[in-house]
Amino acid sequence: MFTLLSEDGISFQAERDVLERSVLLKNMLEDVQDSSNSIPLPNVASAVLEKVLHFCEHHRGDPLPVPEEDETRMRKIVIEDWDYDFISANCDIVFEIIMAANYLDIKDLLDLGCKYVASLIKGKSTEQIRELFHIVNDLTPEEEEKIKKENQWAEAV
Amino acid sequence: MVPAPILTLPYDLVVEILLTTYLSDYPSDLDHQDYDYERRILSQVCKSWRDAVLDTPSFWTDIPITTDSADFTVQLDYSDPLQVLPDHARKVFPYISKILERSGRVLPLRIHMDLEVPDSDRPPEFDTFPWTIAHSFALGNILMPHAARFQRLQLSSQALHPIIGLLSSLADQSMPLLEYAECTRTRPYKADLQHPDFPEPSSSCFASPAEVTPSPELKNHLFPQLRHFSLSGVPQLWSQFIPRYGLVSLRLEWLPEDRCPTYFELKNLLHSQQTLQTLRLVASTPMPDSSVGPDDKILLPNLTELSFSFNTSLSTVFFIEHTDFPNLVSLDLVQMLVFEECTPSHVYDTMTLAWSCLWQISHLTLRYVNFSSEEYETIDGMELAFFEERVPLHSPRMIWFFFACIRLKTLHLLECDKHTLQCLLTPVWSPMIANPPGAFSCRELERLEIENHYDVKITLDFLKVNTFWSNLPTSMITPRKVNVMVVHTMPHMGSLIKEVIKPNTAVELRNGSFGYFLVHGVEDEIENLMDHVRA
Repeated sequence: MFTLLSEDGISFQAERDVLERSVLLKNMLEDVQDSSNSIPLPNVASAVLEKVLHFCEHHRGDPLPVPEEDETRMRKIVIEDWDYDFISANCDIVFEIIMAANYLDIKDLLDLGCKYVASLIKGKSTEQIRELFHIVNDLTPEEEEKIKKENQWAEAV
Repeated sequence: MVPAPILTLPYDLVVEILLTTYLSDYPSDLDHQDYDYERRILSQVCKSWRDAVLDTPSFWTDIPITTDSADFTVQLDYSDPLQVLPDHARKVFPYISKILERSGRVLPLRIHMDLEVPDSDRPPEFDTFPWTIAHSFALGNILMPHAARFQRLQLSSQALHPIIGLLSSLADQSMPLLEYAECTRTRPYKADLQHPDFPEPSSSCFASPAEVTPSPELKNHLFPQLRHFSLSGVPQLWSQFIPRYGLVSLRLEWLPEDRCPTYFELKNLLHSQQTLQTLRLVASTPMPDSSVGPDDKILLPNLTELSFSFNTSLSTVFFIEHTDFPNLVSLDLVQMLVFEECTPSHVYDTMTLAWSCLWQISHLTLRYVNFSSEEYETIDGMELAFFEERVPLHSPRMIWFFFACIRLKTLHLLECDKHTLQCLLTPVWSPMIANPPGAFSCRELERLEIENHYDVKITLDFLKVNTFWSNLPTSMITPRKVNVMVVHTMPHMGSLIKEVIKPNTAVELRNGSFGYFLVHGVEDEIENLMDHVRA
């Protein structure tokens, strides 16, 4: 068992194969034989780390995801049931989970977070997206005018 | 002011989320409008999202081109379209130029051109169709520098000249990433005949110059990855056609008679396609050629799927007589216009005699099969012969076509006439080869689908007659066992259908149009009507 220390000082214990879902931790563990020292994770809060470990625990032993061959091709948003329940139950901290997955380099968790947010965006208008994510329109009048001009062509397409 | 949580994400994560949104769940027909709609929505939310979309080439690899992509207020010198300068071409297609610029220099591109005439009832002459050959050359001018990145080239137009012009301006261009090419003239065929505007064959990126042989080396040099090729209403110089090696699927459709490949051009083209697995031919077969010997055949050893739409013409019969597909698994036949050169019976008879592959196909689809009323009398004579326990003097050719398809597992009959369905149903009295002496065709059928939207009575009659023949004494006939039968009908027809079928009709009987039946006195929707019949 290894111990992880969150940014707010809370300790979490997990086995090697769970932690190795994270490329960052896998690389760190290669240099660590002694599991008595805790591993500090100064960028991950305990509330988020708990969820991340829950995800890694569930997926321990799963094959690691393979990168897309051609990243410009169409992809389907397919989210497995357990994953969907997991991410939607934690939708209030989904961006923290995405950042933690990015920091810890957990590709399947990062993909899941991005897919979930994408599924929220898909099909919505610009106004609806702003409303959903509390985004303030900070485009200048000049930029708006430029967009309008370009849209004359784009809308025709 | 506290920033929105999503805006606290690092730039690369914002890009990843927006790209996942953009690239997810396109409609299957790749509607060109959606690319720009999605890009526009995402790029107008806020400044940081706009920067993310505009500065990430992956958002700009789909290039939609429509008639409105051109700025028709910019003058083009029609007298010499070849002299369109790049800067001027960019003024004619400002948005396409912008998309190409944003797509960077590395990523594969997918070109989707779809040109429609505003008033589609009128022929696309110059007065109603402002897109001239000069516009095609101007477009070619700005696309050409990116040809090495083309992955998919879909050109669709109601008029022919934009396609021809663009293909011509891309002549000799190497497209090492090109996997899929489709050129479709979408104008209705009848209008096409009334307003023929087929120019003389000209240079094209898919035809080699006259002095260059279209060799495998040339194809590998220009389109090494090209596997899927489709031409509809767009003739080529067939003797100089380059994509003739390494294709997996090929479609040739709606070619005017005088622009179809000759027998030897088609043979040459298809014989070079040893990898070809799927072939679709619609009104594109060669005219009969008396110099072709009776044993001379186009042989496609790896072809597994053939879709063939034919007229009742001598060129159809000629094509069937001179082709062989020894490993065919799936056959899709569409009967189109009836010409007076021959009858549908003649065509199906020729297939039965010439295509030995029929005995091994497992999937057959017949669309719009329609016989004359004279044929109907023959089937009546067959029924009579059966009950008189004798071999019929005359039998419909279609019945022998079905008998030839001995290993058929899946049969889909779409808008086929009563005679075709009767031929499938009627057994043959044949005591010399069958015991009991009554034998059905297609006895290994696992799935039978009947789709008659215009005349539901045909389907109902089919089920009635099927019940009759399937329930004769087993000393006379071995019933055909069908696992799944699918009919296309309104749900409330369930009551009528239930009355005419028996428990041995099939294991499952489903409604292909609505997914369920309604039966009088039963509240629930019934998915498998046989469950209710057996109960």
